Amino acid sequence: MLKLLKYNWKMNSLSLYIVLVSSVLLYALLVIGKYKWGWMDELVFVGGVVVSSLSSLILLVMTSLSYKHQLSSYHRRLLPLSQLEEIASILLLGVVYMLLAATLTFAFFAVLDVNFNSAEVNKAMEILLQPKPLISSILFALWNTITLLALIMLSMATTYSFRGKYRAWIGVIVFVGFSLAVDYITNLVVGPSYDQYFAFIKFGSYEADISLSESLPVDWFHFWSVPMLIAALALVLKLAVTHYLMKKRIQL
Amino acid sequence: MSVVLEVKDIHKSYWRKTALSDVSFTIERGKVIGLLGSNGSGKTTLMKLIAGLTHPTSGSIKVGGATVGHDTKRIVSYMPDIPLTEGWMKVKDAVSFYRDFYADFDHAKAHEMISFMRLNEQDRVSSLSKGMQERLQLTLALSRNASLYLLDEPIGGVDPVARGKILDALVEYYNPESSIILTTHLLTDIERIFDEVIMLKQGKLILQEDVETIRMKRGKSVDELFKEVYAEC
Repeated sequence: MLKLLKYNWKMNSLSLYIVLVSSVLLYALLVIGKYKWGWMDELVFVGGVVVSSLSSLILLVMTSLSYKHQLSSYHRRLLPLSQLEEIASILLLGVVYMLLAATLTFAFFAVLDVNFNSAEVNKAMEILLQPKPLISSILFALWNTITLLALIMLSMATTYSFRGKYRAWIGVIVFVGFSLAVDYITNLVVGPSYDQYFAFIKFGSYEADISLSESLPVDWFHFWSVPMLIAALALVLKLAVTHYLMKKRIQL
Repeated sequence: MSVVLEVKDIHKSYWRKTALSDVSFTIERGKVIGLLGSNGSGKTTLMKLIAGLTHPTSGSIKVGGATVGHDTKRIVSYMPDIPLTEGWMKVKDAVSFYRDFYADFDHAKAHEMISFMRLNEQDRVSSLSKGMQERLQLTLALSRNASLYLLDEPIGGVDPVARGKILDALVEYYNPESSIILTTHLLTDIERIFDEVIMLKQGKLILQEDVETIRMKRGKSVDELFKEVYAEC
């Protein structure tokens, strides 16, 4: 598994360096903009969020392309590895990429010292950068990376289980269908008022009453335990079906 | 002699198109087999089935007594007609890739073959000519001490000098304890190394015979027999 990770890392290394260096340069530009040219804190903050989201998205696409390569290349399919090792290696690659993006993002916000016009938002920022909420956020981000990657892998494995030019649509249907099904089951079990944190697609609008010290999920395990269980079961199902498709259905 | 490959009642179809039908044969250890057939006769499909890249619709394939799957990939070395390397790799990276994943990879043999094939370890794979690519592919495939080698058109599309070099490497470096199945259309160049030939026509096995028997009983070379059998194809 680690050997496969090594070769995926090497394969993507140039693109990875470009993404990381570009992110660092953009973050640096935002910091310089704030301290040297007097850019508004809100603007710098939003800029940081945009850079962070874009770099994470690109790294997610790179991970997905690595999986595509794993499924469609002769020399990869010929390797004497179990399907579980192949899946785990891609998930690990996604987690490492996510951690890299998260490290840069947190370093940026730690250096930035933003001051908003709203006292509540300032307080939220202060709380979010404390160790416990920070670790909770990173764990949630990691969990979401794994569940989203597993869904992407399931969709791609389904796509590659078929032949013909319309097979990509089957993958899209699986992606949307599975996401909606998990969303529906979570609502059914927990209730419709619950924030559907784990669903990829969310419908509806939300109004948040920000009373931060009370609503932040510091005791996050208790707070999220039921949807977490559903998401964990969905994750196991996704990985099991992907494993089956890779072993029995995908052909070159 | 022990059987290294057993193919039994294999049928393979893609939707309505039949690629292979009722193909059965066995191959003993230590033989070089020519897998012959016109375009679309099912040679590559058969190789992919043996390599574990695709699954039969029905029938069974055993390599070294084990059904094709995860374990047989350890003992089968397959050289398809497309590159087994990645664009970012240098020749030395491709060798490392094989060394890392295959326990039977012989690093010393690989270095010897690289020198024999006049490959440069620092060259980027994407910059190699087709002939040099094929030399690298063969180097990677033969550097493994596998039980069964599957070589799909190893000399297709290369100039006569490279062809000679590749054939010399095949004879020089193949492990006599193992077997080779090789497909080619260039029979004149290669038939000297065959022990047996298997002929496929429209997905069916039509002949499996010793090369010596073909020469003695039929009074023909393999090339002549091939032209006779596939005259109308």
